[in-house]
Amino acid sequence: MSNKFDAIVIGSGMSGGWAAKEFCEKGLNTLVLERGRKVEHLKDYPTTNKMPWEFDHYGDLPHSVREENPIISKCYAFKEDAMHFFVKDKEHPYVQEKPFDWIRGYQTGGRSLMWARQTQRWSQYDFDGPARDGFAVPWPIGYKDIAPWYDYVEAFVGISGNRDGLDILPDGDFLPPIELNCVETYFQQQVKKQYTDRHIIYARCAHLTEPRPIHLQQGRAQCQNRNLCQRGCPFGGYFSSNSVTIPWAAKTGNLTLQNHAVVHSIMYDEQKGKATGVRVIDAETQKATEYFAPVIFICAGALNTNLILLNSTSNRFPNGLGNDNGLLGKYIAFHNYRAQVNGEFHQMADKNEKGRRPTSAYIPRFRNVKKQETDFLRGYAAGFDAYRPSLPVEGLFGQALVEKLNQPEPGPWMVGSHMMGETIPKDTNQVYLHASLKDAWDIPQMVTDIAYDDNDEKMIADYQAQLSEMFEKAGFTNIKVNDDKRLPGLDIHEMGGVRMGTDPKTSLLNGNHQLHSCPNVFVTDGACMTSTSTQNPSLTYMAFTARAADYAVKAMKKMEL
Amino acid sequence: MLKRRQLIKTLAAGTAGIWVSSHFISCQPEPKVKWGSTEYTQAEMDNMFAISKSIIPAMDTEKFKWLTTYISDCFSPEKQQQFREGYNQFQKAIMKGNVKVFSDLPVEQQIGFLQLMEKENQSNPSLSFFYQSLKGLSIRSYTGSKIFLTQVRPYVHVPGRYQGCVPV
Repeated sequence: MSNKFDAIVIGSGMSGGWAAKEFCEKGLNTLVLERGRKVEHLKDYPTTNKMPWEFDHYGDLPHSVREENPIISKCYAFKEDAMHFFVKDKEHPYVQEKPFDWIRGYQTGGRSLMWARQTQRWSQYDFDGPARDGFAVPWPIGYKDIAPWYDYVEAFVGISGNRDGLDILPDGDFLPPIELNCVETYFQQQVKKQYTDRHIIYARCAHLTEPRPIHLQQGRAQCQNRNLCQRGCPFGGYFSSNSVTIPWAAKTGNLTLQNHAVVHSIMYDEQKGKATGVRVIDAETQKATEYFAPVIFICAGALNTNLILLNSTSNRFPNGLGNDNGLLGKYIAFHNYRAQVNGEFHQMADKNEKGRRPTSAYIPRFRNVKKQETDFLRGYAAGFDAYRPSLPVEGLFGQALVEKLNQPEPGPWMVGSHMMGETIPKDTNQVYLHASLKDAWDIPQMVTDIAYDDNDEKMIADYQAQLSEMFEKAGFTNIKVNDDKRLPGLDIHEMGGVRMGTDPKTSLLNGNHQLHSCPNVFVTDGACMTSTSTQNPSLTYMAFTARAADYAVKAMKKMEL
Repeated sequence: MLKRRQLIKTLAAGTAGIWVSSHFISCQPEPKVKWGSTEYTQAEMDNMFAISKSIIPAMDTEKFKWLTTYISDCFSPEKQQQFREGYNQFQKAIMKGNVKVFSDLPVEQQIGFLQLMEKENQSNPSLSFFYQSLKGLSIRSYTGSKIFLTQVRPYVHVPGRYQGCVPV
């Protein structure tokens, strides 16, 4: 295999998969470097067709696994059926200057295999955040720049949704929604009666509720409501790199996917003023190899992208590639998922839902949207769902218990919400390389130095108060608020460190995702985020990546790169 | 009662060779069965099976095997110890009825005893933990079993649809 390519993409997850697809489709001989093992669609989903009783512990984790993996065991999807897709704590250690739960999946497709598949667009209100409220730096791009790329990726991915007509959460050309249930619909109506600026909508998600010809061409079929997505879907019912972008790229004949390829650093040529390629260590053999290409996309997952750049030192860039201003690794942010509000609803006793569905209801951000109205900056979106658990079987045993288990009686409806808050990027929230500790490939370990702040605490209190008020007005009872005190990181939405901006003195990337001082290196994963807003970010990374790849190919043709 | 005991013994011996009851051999130390990080005699395991079967009459060796595996694999050593202590408490309470094991009680007394256990809560945390764990896992061993999920309340692996609002 030649070591020269037209483009190198680091990472095969949500962003890397899209870079691969775009470059390969446009005829570029593309190398994708994936540090983890090979996971091929259909072939490598060992649990996907297992029945519940076929798991030794009916899905639960053995104590030894939990004890050996205190970090990853906190992740909701790290269960008996999918734990083989997550990085175990001891495999890839990092240093927590402040506690941070780093949830990772090292394999082809990365975390796109196990993601929660929520896909809400950003609006201009989200891009305006930093400039309007005076934090971080202004975004160099806005909704008008990314809207056509949302259209582009959504058409290929397949997004189920309603056209809700909300300026805070722009619509796309959606596939049909899955139903909200009785109580979710009821709550939607109640909120509409009580508020003008708050909405309960169906949460848009990357599921094929009605495949279009493009999805059938991808070899995918309609989502079957199995709700076993984290195992990998044999129908391709939800979007992942494994089921969609990577095989699509491979079909062009232009893709070389290299597994077990741990990127050590990006090589920089001072005379050319460009990056020339990537230094890679084989995870299994420890053999170092260099690969060369005129364009390099770093899509390693936000924190690993920071690590690669920080470790890419040269005479020109002694503090990491592109790090002239010393801000590389700083202004890390995430989503605040700490709080929940729950309640009961004792009406609609004659109704229930039937079956399973891969999404629920969504409450778009309503705080500080058009003007500042609280004592904290920005706001939160929220998930909402209702369900009817069976009545408890306390006091029963013997035949009476068996009868109740065979014919369970539904109890009252339970309602629940969880917050998804924007956090404010700060220079004190940062990652950097440890001075002495190295990983198994002699690469410095990552140090995480990230924490909540007062703004987050105020936002939690407001979310709890506002959702409680909305629940109360809807007639829900026994309302309880909770703060689970989860650590940063467990939201699995870590972002920043290589932020975009207009000014090279205060940002690392320009509006086309190029390093200001090394323009043939692009960053399109979560590391590029100037601010976080509240939406689940993967859709935005995909749109950013497609847009940047389009720019890169055009620039290459014009000999600008 | 004897019939039931024999049945249990037969079932237990049928699946796991180590489950040979030594309950009646009282003149020599009973061999211990290693169970996770704790130890039980075979008679104690038989007794546990009998209690579990009183909670879920469909209990059989396969389900009980799942239950014991779950406790040894998924309970921390501390929780296993608490379960053991709770069992001892349970047994102590049973012996007040002048019987050696739960299944020696007349059926109506077994029912009365389980009713008491249902009310047992904070006054004896280990006993409560033992009973609630055994009950919870007995239920799961039943509702998670193949027979339950294929014949009683069939699990639909590929439902193909979701209905948000249907009559109960």
